[in-house]
Amino acid sequence: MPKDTSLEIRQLIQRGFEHHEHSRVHDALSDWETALKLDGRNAQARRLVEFGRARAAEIEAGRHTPPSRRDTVESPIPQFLAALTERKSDKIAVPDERAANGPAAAPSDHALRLRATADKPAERKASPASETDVPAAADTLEDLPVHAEDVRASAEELLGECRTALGENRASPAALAAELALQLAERAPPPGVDDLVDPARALFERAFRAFLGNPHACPIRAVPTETLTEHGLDERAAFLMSRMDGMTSLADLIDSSGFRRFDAVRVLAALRRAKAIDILPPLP
Amino acid sequence: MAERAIGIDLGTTNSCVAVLEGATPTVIANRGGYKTTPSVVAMSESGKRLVGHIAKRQAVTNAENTAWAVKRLIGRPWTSPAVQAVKAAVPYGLIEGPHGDVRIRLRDQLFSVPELSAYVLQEMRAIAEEYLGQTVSKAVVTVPAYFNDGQRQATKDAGRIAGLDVIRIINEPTAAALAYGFGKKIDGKIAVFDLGGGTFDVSILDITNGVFEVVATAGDTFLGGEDYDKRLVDWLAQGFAKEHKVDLRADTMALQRLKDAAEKAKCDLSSVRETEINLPFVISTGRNQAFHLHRVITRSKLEELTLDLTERTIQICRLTMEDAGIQPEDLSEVVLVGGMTRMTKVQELVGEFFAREPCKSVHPDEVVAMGASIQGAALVDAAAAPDMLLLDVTPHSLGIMVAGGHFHRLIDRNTTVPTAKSHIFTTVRDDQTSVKIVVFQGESDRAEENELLGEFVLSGLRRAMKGEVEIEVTFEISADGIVSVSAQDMETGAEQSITVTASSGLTESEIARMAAESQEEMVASRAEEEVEKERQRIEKLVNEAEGLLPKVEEILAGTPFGEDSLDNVRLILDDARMAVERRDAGGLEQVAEPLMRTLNMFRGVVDSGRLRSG
Ligand SMILES: Nc1ncnc2c1ncn2[C@@H]1O[C@H](COP(=O)(O)OP(=O)(O)O)[C@@H](O)[C@H]1O
Ligand SMILES: [Mg+2]
Repeated sequence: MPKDTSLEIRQLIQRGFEHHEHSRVHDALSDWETALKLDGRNAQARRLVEFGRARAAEIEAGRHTPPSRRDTVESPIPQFLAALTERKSDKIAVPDERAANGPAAAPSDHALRLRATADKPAERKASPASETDVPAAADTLEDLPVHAEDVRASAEELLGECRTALGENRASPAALAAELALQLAERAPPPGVDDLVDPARALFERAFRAFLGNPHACPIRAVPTETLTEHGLDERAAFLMSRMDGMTSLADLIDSSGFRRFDAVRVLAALRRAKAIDILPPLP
Repeated sequence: MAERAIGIDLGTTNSCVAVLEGATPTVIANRGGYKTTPSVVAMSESGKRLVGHIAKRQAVTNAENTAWAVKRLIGRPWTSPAVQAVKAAVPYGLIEGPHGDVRIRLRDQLFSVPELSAYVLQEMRAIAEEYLGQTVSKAVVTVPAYFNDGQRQATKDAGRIAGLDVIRIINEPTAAALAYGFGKKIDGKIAVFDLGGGTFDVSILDITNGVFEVVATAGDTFLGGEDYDKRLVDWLAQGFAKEHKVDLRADTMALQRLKDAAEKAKCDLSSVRETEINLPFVISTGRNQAFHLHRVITRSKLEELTLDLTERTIQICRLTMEDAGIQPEDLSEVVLVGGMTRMTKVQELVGEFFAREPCKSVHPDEVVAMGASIQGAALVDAAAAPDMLLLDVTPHSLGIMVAGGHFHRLIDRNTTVPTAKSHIFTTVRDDQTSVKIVVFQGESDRAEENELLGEFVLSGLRRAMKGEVEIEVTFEISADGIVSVSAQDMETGAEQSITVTASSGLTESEIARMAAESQEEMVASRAEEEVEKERQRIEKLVNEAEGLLPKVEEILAGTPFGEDSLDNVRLILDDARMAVERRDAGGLEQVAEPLMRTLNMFRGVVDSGRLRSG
């Protein structure tokens, strides 16, 4: 009888994940390789070795920056929301993710161009809040000097952008537009834009799903869960991260989250956007 | 290939399946590599049925739609105290069924208890089939020794719904003893100490010439590993609250993570003396403030937190032994069963109490299934286990109610089954033309203090003076412990009988319907070609719909049938595409109907578009 190495393999794979989370790609790879040596037929070990080698090569070629060493990327989302409150420009641009995330991003990722400011300066002046300076990443737009019409116009544009991008198979901007629209709806001052955004949930879900890709692929943590706040992510994201074991597929993760499917898909898309997770190809 | 019978331990918290290969029982691992599968069934928001680990992992965050420990409910009438106790303790909805039985609500659907157990059995069956590479239709399923007739019947029903022929129901302690080969090795008494996830049972078996008799059995249906986990959860949560002024137990996500981590730490501490619990970003208060839980726990701390629980099991052992008039030195062996007996403190206290080193296998949560597989092999092929004879005994006395509300015992407790017994009764009134036979089980001489199993009426008796007409009542218990009762008019030969199924709560036709329903599922999920056929059919439909989509979009552009509705339709197409790619039988089934609707709508739209433009 060969000795039972399954526990040892599981521990090695696990330790590899921890290295990977902390951007110690070579240590992770070496643990996974050891695991594969113990059992050459272990599909999980094989997949991880392939993933680790590819990642190491990317780093070598300067095509991948480990997330923890990357300069802190300003999430496009607070920027967008803050820009909504800027009076002078009549166009705001959601930052191009390609610029933020380095050359690896798909060239088809266009920046979203959004008109967000009002062309009714008289009314704007009447708003008392507009006299004060506004923090860059506010929790709510309620206190911000934005006009309901501006918000509505932005929401409409985001919806349009989401639909167009999805139609052109540009999943990343589609998902970003969906996220922005949802955040807008959550933070918009009364009367809000729920009437616009709610009916578009099916569209948004499609956008998020397209952005996540193959539902059988298995996500793993790419950053320590502790650091999620730096990416503007909340404990729901942390919860989903805690369920990732490299074996559970996106689809199973969504089903076993206990969240509403829409919420689970949305949070996973946010994790992916923040590069807080990596996605392994499906198990055979 | 010869038909094989598998052994299934359908547990309160975990189930396990084994098959005899050669002379050794092999426990079969599930796809995740685990040899036990949580007996948990849940419904996801999208109506997908989740069984096993995946269901357990969302048991807190989707508590209302997750059924666990339904074994505590199986075969029990709605009014029983056990059901009411469970009702008070679980977040999922329990309601009274049409036959005074229990129904469980998950999402908007109602399930009977045997139906939910059937999903678990189906899973175990699928695990075995994948391993064996052949279909399996016969199984031996185990139940606790104290299960009454109704509970055994309901367990059999669950098997039937799962498409399994349950060839024998055997007692869990008996199965464990079989796994140790005690049928051949031992003549004498053994104690089986079974501490699982939710329940504790101790049984004393007397083994003579390969015949197992349950001499005594006792336990607590609300004492098990989960209580240990809860102690650990509370300790962690209290420590956290002291530091951060937040109660993690109030947040479902935090509680889910806490529970998972506590159970894992508890299990780790059975092999190491110290372990870490690490839950980064377990909760946040307000924006950008994340709290992490990090704690080290030692084995002795865990022992201290749970000592009273372990002591309670010993206390139950003491009472049981006293009741049965047995001294520890009368026992030949003590056997440990159940995942919790891996805990060293449990082993230590059991050893101390029984004054001997208990037999423990490496995997005490697998021995029951192993024993069941041995029995299964012996039943399908007597040659496989030639000298094994396995007999069980009735756990309760059985009888009927007679005049004055007395209980007339026909079959005494601990009678070896199968068995049959008759007794002649007479009428109590003059001109009495019918008798009501009310069947009970229990030990009290007052019928009403025992458990009602069922009743029936024998009518058409000759008018006569009281005491003149004679009725013969016969009780029969099959090898599974299933009871049938008949009453015969000695003069006319007219007969009435029942098989006691009342407490299973399901009628014959309901079981048949459920079996048929899940049979369809089974066929769908097992027969590869069937799935493939359906996949191809759906794929064709999706292709057609996707082909029509641009046209439909064009026609509908700017109509009141807006983009949002089209998005819903696109989502359906996405789902269908995904199910096609996944070869997911359940998914294909789910999308078939909406997809057809969508396609019909598309065809209609395109036709009318053609009319308009043409
Ligand atoms: N290594 C271990 N150490 C301590 N407890 C364990 C260990 N492995 C499993 N358990 C516990 O055993 C319980 C499950 O026991 P099991 O016999 O599988 O369940 P059932 O009640 O269904 O018979 C769970 O509470 C689980 O945490
Ligand atoms: Mg058990």
